Amino acid sequence: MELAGIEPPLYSVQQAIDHCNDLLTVVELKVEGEVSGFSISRGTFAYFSLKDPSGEALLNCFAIVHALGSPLEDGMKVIITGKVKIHAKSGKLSLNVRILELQGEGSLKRAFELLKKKLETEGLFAQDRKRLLPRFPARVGIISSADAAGYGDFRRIARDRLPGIQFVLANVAVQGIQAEGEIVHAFDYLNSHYELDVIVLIRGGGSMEDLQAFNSELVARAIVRSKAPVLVGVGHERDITIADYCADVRAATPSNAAELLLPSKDDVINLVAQLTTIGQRMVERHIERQRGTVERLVQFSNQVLTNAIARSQQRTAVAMQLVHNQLVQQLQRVRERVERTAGTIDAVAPVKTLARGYSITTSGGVVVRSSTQAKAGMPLTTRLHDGTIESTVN
Amino acid sequence: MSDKKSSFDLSASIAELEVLERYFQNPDMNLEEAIVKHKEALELSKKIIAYLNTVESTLKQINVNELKNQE
Repeated sequence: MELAGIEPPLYSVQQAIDHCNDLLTVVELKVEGEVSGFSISRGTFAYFSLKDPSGEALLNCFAIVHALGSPLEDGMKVIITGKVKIHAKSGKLSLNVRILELQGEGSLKRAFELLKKKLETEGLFAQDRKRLLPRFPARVGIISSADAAGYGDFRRIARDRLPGIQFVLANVAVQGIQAEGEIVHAFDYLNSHYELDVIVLIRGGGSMEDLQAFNSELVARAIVRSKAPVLVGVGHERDITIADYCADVRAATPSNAAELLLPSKDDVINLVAQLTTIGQRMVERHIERQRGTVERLVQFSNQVLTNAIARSQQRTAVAMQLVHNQLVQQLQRVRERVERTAGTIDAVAPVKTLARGYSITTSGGVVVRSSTQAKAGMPLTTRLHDGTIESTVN
Repeated sequence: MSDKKSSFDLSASIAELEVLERYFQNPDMNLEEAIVKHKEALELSKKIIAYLNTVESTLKQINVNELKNQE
């Protein structure tokens, strides 16, 4: 381009390229074409060309791999939004990818399969990675569009099932170019700002193109790294997205997500009844065990007491036998003593002596023990065992 | 036991018999008195023996084995 009357400045090649690039910074292109010559360098940089269906026009493209959102391969139809830049070393013009949109069901399905295989290989779908949802969540984060019918269904059913839950809504676009970034940001925001029991990702049904944000690698990784377990309820029952595979729990629809997330009032009542029954049984079993213990202790105590009584009875009987024997012996000793005393008395009693033929002579009541005591004319009384004889001394 | 003691005092009776025994060891005993005391001693001896017989009979009636078998 030459302006009339103005001589263009003279540039070096580098200056010319820099000048062109300065001019191109304000130009953002949205280009539709077919991917060709796709390659990844050092696992980070993606290089490919966009070509028209005729194959007669090529546009070089460059992207950071992790920012692509979807895997690419040759033959896929895409729309690339980005800015163009001339690379000084090669002198080639390149479209730097800011937004990648897959075009046509074939490309979407192929990208889906490629991403599914990749993430599955990495273990993102593994069952042992899945976390259980809390039975009675108190604080739930929701990532959805406040205007979406699916969100309305979810809230209505959730309210009917169990009121009193605190919901934190991250209002995001659930389709279109902005959806992927907003969803990823919502996960990071909710996890860093709230202590949530669950995060629910909700969207109603739609075409595969509409649901493309839920087949995004960035969204998939946001789900996997979420601190709170994630429940995904996207689309209709037949729609299975990459987000569904990554979720800790997958619901067939937003309504089903509410049902899986919250127990119904009847469920709670039944659970309380079950727990009450279990509690009663436990108490009954405990009482039964304690009753058994008490019975065993009583039985044991009875046995100990019975044994003690039997021992006491035996000792008493033995003692009584000793007492009895001693009494009998004592009685015998007393009897012998009495008989001996009585025998002695009987032996020395004068009556017995008189019976053997002896006599006692007295005079005036005095016993005459010697013949020298006798004087002539002295009256004597002689006592025999059966009577007395009166006489006089000659 | 207290009834028995009030009706017959064995210890006192034996002591009394032993006093009589000592009496008969005195060579200057009065004959008439000795004869009376001899009778007393005989009767006292009979009483004591009768009492001892009663006690022995009572003891024999007590079956110690019954005590052993009591529950």
